[in-house]
Order: sequence, then C-alpha cells, then structure tokens
Amino acid sequence: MPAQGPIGVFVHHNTLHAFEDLPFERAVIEAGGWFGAEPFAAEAEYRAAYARGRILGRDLEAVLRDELEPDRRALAQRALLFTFEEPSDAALDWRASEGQLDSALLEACVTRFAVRSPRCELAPVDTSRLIHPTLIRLVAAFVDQGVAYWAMPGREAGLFAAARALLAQPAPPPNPWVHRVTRAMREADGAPAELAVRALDALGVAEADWGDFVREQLLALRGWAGLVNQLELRPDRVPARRVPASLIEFLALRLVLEREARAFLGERTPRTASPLTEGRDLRVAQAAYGVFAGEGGGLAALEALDADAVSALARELAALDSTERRRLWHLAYERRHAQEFLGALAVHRPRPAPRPRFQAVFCIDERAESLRRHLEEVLPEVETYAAAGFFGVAMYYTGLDDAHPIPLCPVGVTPTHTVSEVAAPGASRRGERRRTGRRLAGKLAYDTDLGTRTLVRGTVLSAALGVLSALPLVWRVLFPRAASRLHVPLPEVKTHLDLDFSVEEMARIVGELLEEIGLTEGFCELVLVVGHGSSSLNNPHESAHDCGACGGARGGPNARAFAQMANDARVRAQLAARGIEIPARTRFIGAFHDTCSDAISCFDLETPPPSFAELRAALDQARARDALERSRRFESARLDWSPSQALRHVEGRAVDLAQPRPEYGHATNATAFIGRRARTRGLFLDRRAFLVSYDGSRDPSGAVLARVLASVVPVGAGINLEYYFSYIDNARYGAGTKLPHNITSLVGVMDGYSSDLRTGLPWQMVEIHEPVRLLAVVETRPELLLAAASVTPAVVRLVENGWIRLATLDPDSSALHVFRDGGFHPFEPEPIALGRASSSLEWFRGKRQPLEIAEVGG
Amino acid sequence: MIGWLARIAVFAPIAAFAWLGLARLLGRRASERSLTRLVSLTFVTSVIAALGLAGAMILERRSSEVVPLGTWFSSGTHRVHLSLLVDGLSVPFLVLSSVLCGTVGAFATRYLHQDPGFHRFMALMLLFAGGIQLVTAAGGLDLAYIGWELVGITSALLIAYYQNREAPVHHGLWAFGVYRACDVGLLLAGLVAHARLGSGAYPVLYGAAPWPAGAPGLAGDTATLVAFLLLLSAMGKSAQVPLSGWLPRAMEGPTPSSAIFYGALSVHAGCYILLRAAPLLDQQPGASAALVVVGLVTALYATVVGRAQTDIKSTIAYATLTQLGIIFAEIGLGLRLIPLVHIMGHACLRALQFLRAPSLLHERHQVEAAMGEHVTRTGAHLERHVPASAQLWLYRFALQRGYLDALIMGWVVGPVLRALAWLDRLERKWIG
Repeated sequence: MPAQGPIGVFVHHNTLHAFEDLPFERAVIEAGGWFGAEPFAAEAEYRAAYARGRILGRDLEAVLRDELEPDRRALAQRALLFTFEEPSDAALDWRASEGQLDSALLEACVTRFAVRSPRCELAPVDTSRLIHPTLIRLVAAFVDQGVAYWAMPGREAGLFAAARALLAQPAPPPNPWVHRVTRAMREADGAPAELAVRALDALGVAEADWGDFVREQLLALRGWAGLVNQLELRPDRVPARRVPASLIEFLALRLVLEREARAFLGERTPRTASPLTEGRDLRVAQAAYGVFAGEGGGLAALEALDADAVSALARELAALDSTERRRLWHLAYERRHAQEFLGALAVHRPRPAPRPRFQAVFCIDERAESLRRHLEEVLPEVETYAAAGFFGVAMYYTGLDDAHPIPLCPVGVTPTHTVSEVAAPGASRRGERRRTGRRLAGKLAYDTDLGTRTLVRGTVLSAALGVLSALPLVWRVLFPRAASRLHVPLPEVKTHLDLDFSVEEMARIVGELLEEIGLTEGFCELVLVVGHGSSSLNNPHESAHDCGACGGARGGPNARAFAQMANDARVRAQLAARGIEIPARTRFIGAFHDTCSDAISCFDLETPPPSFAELRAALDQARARDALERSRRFESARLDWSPSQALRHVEGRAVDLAQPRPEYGHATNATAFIGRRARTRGLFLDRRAFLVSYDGSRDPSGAVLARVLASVVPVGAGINLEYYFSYIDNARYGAGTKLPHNITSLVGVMDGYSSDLRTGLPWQMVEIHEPVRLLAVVETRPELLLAAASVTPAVVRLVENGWIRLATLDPDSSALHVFRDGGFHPFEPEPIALGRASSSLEWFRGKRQPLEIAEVGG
Repeated sequence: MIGWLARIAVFAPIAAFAWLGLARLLGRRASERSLTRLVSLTFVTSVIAALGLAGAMILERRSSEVVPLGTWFSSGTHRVHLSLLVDGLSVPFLVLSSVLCGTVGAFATRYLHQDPGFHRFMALMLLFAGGIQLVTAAGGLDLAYIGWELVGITSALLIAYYQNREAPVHHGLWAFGVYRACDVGLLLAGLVAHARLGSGAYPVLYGAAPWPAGAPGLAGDTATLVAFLLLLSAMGKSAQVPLSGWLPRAMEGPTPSSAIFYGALSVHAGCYILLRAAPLLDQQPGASAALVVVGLVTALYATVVGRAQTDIKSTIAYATLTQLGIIFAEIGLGLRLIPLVHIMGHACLRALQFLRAPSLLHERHQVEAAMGEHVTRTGAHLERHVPASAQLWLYRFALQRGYLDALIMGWVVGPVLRALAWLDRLERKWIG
C-alpha cells in the first residue's frame, strides 16, 4: 500500500518501498504484476531516445555484452531495434498494405511462429460498483479534517463501529442493495477482526488463500487503505484532528461489504474464468519478422530452417518479450547518463574559489544547484557549500504568524526542542496589533466563505454581496501578479527566535554541520545560510515542493536558527574548544529561498555589515538568472526573455490560480555528488544533481561520511524513485493529471466526483522527468565508502539491490570506481569532450530540451 | 447599432467555433498559442459588445428591442421567424455570461496548457458560450431551445472529458440522461406555443410589454400546461429535487468547466428561462406554488446533504444547489428583481469558489495561521436542532446524498430498462 500520509505535509517515498529487499529490476517487474503497472518506460520512448542520440549504439552493445550470453546478443539487438507495440492482425495487415512490410515474409512468419492462445477472459464479479461509493464516503467522512460542516457522528469509536451505526439506520427508497447493507450491518456484531474472518469464510476463501485475497481487497482501493494504515502508524501526522484509524477495521468493513455484494450479485466463487475466443498471439511472429527482414536474409533464410531450429528460435524470441526488451533498453539509457556524468567528473579540473570573500551554505536539493552556480558566476569570490536543509536543527517551530508548532526536520527524526518566533523587545505592542488584525481578517474570510455555503447566510451573502466577487474573480484570473500584491496592510514586526537549546547542544549542532561540510577554517566576514521552500496556489501538492530535509516544510526558520546559534558568542567559545575558531568579525546570516517565485529573503538584518550590499546585489542577479534557467523548461515561457522578465514570470506563476505547473520541483533529478564543491564548481549540471559538501581530507575514519550517507541516501533515493515511478506509470504509481483533482477531507485528492485517493505525483510535476536511478558519486576511496555505507542498513539495502547507483571519485586524482555485484570496480569512462561556455546563460540560452553537462565560466 | 451589438455578443463564440471546426475539417490543427489567441479575441469581442449593448440601451433609453435574424423555415403559411430580444432581463445576463465565459476561458487557456484535450476543451467551451448567449438573448422559445441543447450537450461532453476512465463517461451519461428527459419540457412548450399561437416568439407568448410586465398570449389549461413544461425543463437544468443527483457527478471534468457550468452559468439557465416566463407565471398560481415547493425542498435537501460532504467540489456543488432552490422559490413567490440580482451575485461567487477549490489546503493553512487555531469547528445544528434519535439517520441520509440516485435508479431507470427488455423480447419473438 502507498506509504503516503496526509497530503498537506508531503514526504517523498520510494513508491515501491515494500519491495526494497529485492533487486531493483526484479522488484519493478514483480510489483508491476501486483499493481498492473509498468516496470519501465514504453519501448517507443526508448526508441525515440535512441533516434535522437540519447542512447547510443555502443550503449546497447555494452548492455547486451553485460547481460546476455554471446550467442543471444545479435538476436536481442535485432529484437530491440525492430519491434512495434502490441501487434495485432489489423496493425500488421495495415502496415503490409502500406508497403512497410514484406508481406510474403510476414505471412510465412505468422504461419510458422504465431501461437494459438485460448484467450481467457476473466469474468470477475465487479463488486466495486456497489462497494466503492459507500466505502469511499464512509472512510472520507471518518478521516475528514475539517471540510464537512458536520463531522461523522461516533467516529471516536473507530471506523467500523461508526460505519455500522450509520449503515444500520433505516433507508427509505426501493433500492435492494441499500437494504441489504442495512440488514447486514444490523446483524454484524463482534470485533472487526472476527467479522473479517467470518466474512472470509462466508466468501468461501480457503485459509491458504487469505493472504492473496486480502491483498487484492486492500489494493482495490489502495490509496484509501494506505491512508488509513498511515494514520494508524503515524497518528501524529494527522493535520488537525486525530482519528482512531485502524487497518483491520477498514478491512473488516470492506470484507463484509464484499460478502454482501457478491451474494447480491449472485456470485459466490471469487472468480470464474470463461474461455471466450481463441486468438492468435502474434508477438513472437512479429519478432521473427524483425529477425529475417532486411539483412536477416528474408524469406529464403526462414525457409532454410528446419522445425527444430524454428522452435528454438521461437523460444529465444519469447524470452525477449517486451519487459525484457525494455529492461535492456533501460539499462542502456542509464548507461549513457552514467557515462556522461562520470566522464565529466573525470575530466573536470578542480576549481576552488579564488580568494573567497563570502561563504554561503545551501540545501543539498538539486534545485539549489543552479542558484549556487549563478551566484558563483556573478560573484566569483563566493564559496558555496551544501548540507541537508534543516542544517542539523531539528525542532518544532511556531512562527509569529503560525497557529501551531510544526516539525522542521527529516521525517525519521522526532524533535525534542521547541522554537518560537517572538516579537523583539519593544515590538510586542505592534506584534499584538498584527495578531489582532490577522485574526480579524482570517475570521472574516473564513466565516464569509463558510457562510456562503449555508442556507440563510448564503442567501443573504450571495444575493446582496455576491456580485462583488466578480472583482477578485476577474482580477485574480487576469492579473495574478498584481492581485497578489493587494492584501490587508498589517504592521511589520521585528522578531527574533526563542531558542530552547542549551549552549552545548547549539555548539554541537553548529560544530557537526561545519565539520560535515568541511568549513572549519578560513571563515569570511559573511556566511549566508539559505533554507528553502515553495509557495504556490492551485496546488494540492504544494508541500511536495518544500524542503525534504525539513519533512516537507519550509526550511527558512532552520537557516535562521542556525545563524542565530553560530553568532552566539558562548557557542563560539565552545566551538573554539572543539577546534573551530570563528573570528569575531564573521557573521552568519539566515535566509530563505522560495524555489517557486525565486524570492530570497534574509533574516535579522537590522544592522547589515557594509559588505552585505554587494552580496545582496549578487543574490538578486543570481536569482533572476535562476528564474531564467527554470523558465527555459516551461513551454509557456519565451526563450528570448531577459533574466528580469523571467523573474517576473515565475513570480506570477507562484500566485496564479490557473497555473498547474508553478514549478517543476525535483523533476529531472538524476545524480548526487558528495564531495568538495571544487570538483563540480564550473560544471553546468542542469539542476539535476544533489550536491552534498563533504571533505574527506578532514574525515580519515569515515565517521562523518557514514552520517552523511545515512541522512542523504534514503532521502535522495526516496525523491528519485518517487519521480521514477510516477513518471513510468503515471496512472497507477502516480496521481494522474491534476486537472480534475478534488481535495478530499484535507488529506488527499480524488479524481473528480469519487475515486480512490490518488497517491504519488501528478503528471504536471513529472512530465519533463528523465527516469533514471540516482547515480551517487562520493569523493572518497572505495574501501572507506564501503565501510561508511555498511553502517546504515537502509543504505546497504538500497545500494546492494541496485535502487541507487553508487560510484567513487578519488580525492587526489580522477580515478573512478563503480559499485557492481557487491563491490567497487575501477571504471574508465569513454573519452568525453565537454562543451564550454563563458557562462551558464550562454549555454542554456534559447534551449528548451535537457542539456549536456558543460564547463561554464572561469 | 443595438441589433449589431447584440448579434456580435451572441454569435462571436459560435463563429469562432465554426471557424475552428472548419479548420479541423480541412485538416488544419491550430497550435495551442493561436487557439489561445482566438479564444481571447472571441471573448474580448463578446464582452465589449455586451457592455456596448448595455451602454447603448441606457443611452438610447430603450427598454426592449427585438432584433430579427430571419426566417428559419416555412411550411405552408406557417413561418418560423428567429429573433433576439434585448431588454432589461437579457442584457444584464449577456454582460454576466460574457464576462464569466471570458474570465474562465482565460483561466482555462493556462490551466489546460499542454493537456492532450486542449483543442476539444476550447471548442466545447466556445460552443457552450454560444449556447448560453443564445438562451439568454433568444427572442423566442425556438432559438432558446437551440441554445439550451448546445449547453446540454457541451456540458455532458465536458463531464466525460476524461474519456479513458470509466467514471467520467458514466457520469456524463447520467447528466445527459437527465437533461434529455427534461429538455422535452422546453421542446413541448415551444410546440404548444406554435400550435396555439402560430409563433414561439416571446412578445407573442408573454406579451409585448417590457419585462417583467406583459400579458401572456395563452390562457386556460394550455397556459398551465406550458408553465409546468417550462418548470420541468428548468428543474433538469438547475438540478432541482429529485433530479439533483447529476450535479455532484458533474465534478468529473477539469476545474474550469465545473466553475462555468455548475457554479456559474449552466445551472442558472433554468432560473433564467423561468424568469423570462414571468408574465405567464404571474397568471399561474398553481405552477408558481409548485415552483416554491420544489425550490424550498431543494434548498433544504441541499443544505442538509451539503453539510456532510467531505470533498471540496461536492461541498460547493451542494452550496450552489441550496441557492438554486432559493432562487426558484423567489421566482415562484412572484419576485422579479431579487432573483435577477441573486443569480448574478451567486454566479460570480461560485465561479470564484470553484476556481479556488484546488487551493483549499493553502488557503486553509493561511486562515488557520491567522486565526491561531484549527478551524475544525463543526455545525452545531445537528446536535441542537435534531433529536438524538434522528441524528444518525439524518447523517446517513446526508452522506448518501438523500438516496436520490437510488430512487431514480429504482423507480425510473430500472422500470424503463425492464420495459425495453420486454419490448426487445417481444420483438424477437415476433420477428423470429
């Protein structure tokens, strides 16, 4: 079942997390069977990639060499290059009649290779039509967090009890199904688990088949079942009101309804297969045609084969079915990507920042890659670093404008500290005025909105004042950016953070982070710490664009808290004892980057140091360039815009009610580099690389590396694999197109009127993604990496089973090793000539498509 | 001048649709950008013409003007003339519908960007806009019926917009079925008018005096019949009880189509056609009383059911239905100006709410932050006004949407299907 919790806090997961014990290639195929989903992209897509040079001939050859015995390679190659989807009589006939095929050869192939297949039409009893509307409504009402005006009565007693009490109520109309449910619920007494067992017995399911049957039952509405399961496992993740969710109760309800529905439809056996027609399976015949056509020798070559040879060939071809072909294609696709990235790393000469005057720490998020690069290009004296965007500060945080504390740290961590933003001394009166003003405005907005939906207030409001809503309607739709600037004027309040940490704890947090990223000496006057998040309208998946390291929330407060800690003289004194001397003139500044509007705001700058103006100007230039680089991927943005035009465009996107693609989020993420920035500085990585600062020369034991891997690998793999699966099969693993999405119970989205809860990512988020497994390169030696990775079981599982690809780059040379079959092997990338450009702008200007890695600047 | 402005306001969308259809017929497929330009141009033209029309009517102090369009067909001495009627009722509606269509059209060009069905959506949107303008500005039941059908078919096709899933198609068919059954009312009303008066034109049918005054051309049982036929057709279009089940089902399409059809314009077409018939209804206490009863029952039903809905689009759908019921009742009570204002305000309000629906989480978060608390407050009505013994019953009633669909399936669709099956068997027996 999907591991997705309530959508308001979206955490990226490996969609097939439950399959991680299997090797990747086997897992996707097996899971594909369970979910009826695709394991790899469509063959046509790979072939298109081959045609445009994204996969090269030598990639295919290399993959075939690695994966198949020598005598099968030639055949496989022909099968890969000559196939078309879903052959049918009609399609083949048509192609033959169009002269695309040699019809004599085709006929011979069909005669000798077509397989007669009794087409078994499963005639399952479709009970979903009866069960789902009721079940969906009940569960939605049960978990509702505040959409409905009336909450479900009696839900404190649990789903089953509440549902039973409701469905036992008399129902008037002449509908036998409704009556049947009513009667069944009146008779259902006992604990849910007991009722579930009784229902299984009544359904005639043998005890040995319970597992499969229950799985099928749960997966029939897997979004809802998964949500109930998540709320049971993590009751703290519920947005507003805890409900006593329990999967067994959901199952019991489902099974009781299933039993009634089957009885109602007059069916007792779970499934009956009735052979309908006898059809021809043309897949092998089609592949055979590919073998003999053209250079294969044509009809003559086919006729030269005896019966044994034909059946041997048929077996071979059957083994090369669509899944196998796509597996091979996919490996070739990933190989090209690996060759490019590893090749670029090998030839790129380390480029340390010349005489740094500023330092800036970003999140490891691949969206920060472009911002860092532009900042370095605009102001070469900036040295940039990256760490997981909660900057080691795990906390519950309440902002001045927030109602409740929210956890700001990775999902796996439970914070033990609480931090609040409070009005600075002397500003408390203003703070009070602001709070009162906001409360009034909020209450007015909420009551009006609610009022329009009631009977009496709704009549008065819509008749008397409704016409007024034409103004915001027209204004917000036609001029979103201008409309967003209009809001109730509230007093600005000076604030600071009330940190509930001891000095020792703060020193540990700051010290560990600085050691991790390798910034323990040579501090500049200003050190910027940049958290990130994303704000957009018309986007139920808004939180999926926030910082993953903050558990799907905005990391500005973490950056601010970190800076406040690092500026604390007591903390610095303790750090000095640890060997980290921060000069008194050094100042840390917290900042927040909105990845949707590309706004950057800095905190606590009442008395900015003189050099700050220069940094701020560079930031403004960099974010405009960043906006332009992002815009090049939006079809609706023009390619000839200037950076400032692009900035205005993305600002508009963030506040546009009609915009289903406010930003592309993590789409196209593909690689991770864990090492010193100097090794990647000056490389144009096209916003595809998670960059983690790590300096192996300060970590001889590998202890820091183990910590970095434990926090970075599962998060990176979760993001990468969620995008992979949501792209590969958007209808089943993803959430489908977001245009008909309907927010339900404040916990998720349905398609339109009533459907399963849609988990995963919508198409509009992943449409430009390139589905490859994360390729993580660590700047260290293989034996150190093996030792460091083996500390965390989750990392071991992901690496050994190939859910991520791992490689090392030697700290002192350009030697590469890749992980394969349980160990690291030296890797010699194909020679590569990197493109060169004077700046990133020059490299991507006017281009829409994904770009190759290039050396830019300096 | 007035005539031309009216013609442009009404026919601009249809002309654009025809242009699009012709291009498609000739194998030309417009790019998304040029289609966006065409849609914008069309709606800007339509809005300007509608506003110009309103200005011209005020400046020239005209209260009512018939714009002849020509003769549709003639048979013997019977001629069917088509015309537009611009007056104090149709002009505000023309302005409203062109502004809303234009706004939602602009929304849709960004919202559906790169959707595989972009062309289909825009074509249907233009056709719908033309249909609703025809209903609004029609000078008689004939032209109104054409517009009415265009609105109906585009509505069903947009509910079923996602053809590759089963549910949208099923629900589109549901709405289509209800529409067809109720459209009979409008069709028959027009036929009766032609049979008795020789014309379906409003000045003949409802009197030539400016709306809402006028002396209806029909009297007696015929007049009663026509009033009830109009009521039937309006009940279908405006989803009154017991036909309400299609309205929440219509939420399958993309958000902007929900906004324009089920929040703003299409659902109000039923109210409009009844308002237009005001002079007739004034003389028909029976039909007016029925209107009040249907409206109040619908309002009560919708407000009860709406309170238990847990998804945002159904919540807004039932809120819309509540007000539609109230508007029906207002019309039945003989009010004229109030329902007119009510419809206009309500249409704008709901259009905005539907367009904001996908932002619910964002807005809720902001409101909660501002208020400093979780707003899970639930209505106390259930506990306060309903006896404890009936609370569970009422909640189930609300959650299962008043069993209206089960009722229709059990009492109408089921018997019809059985009758058809019986006829089918009979036919087979006779033939073979």
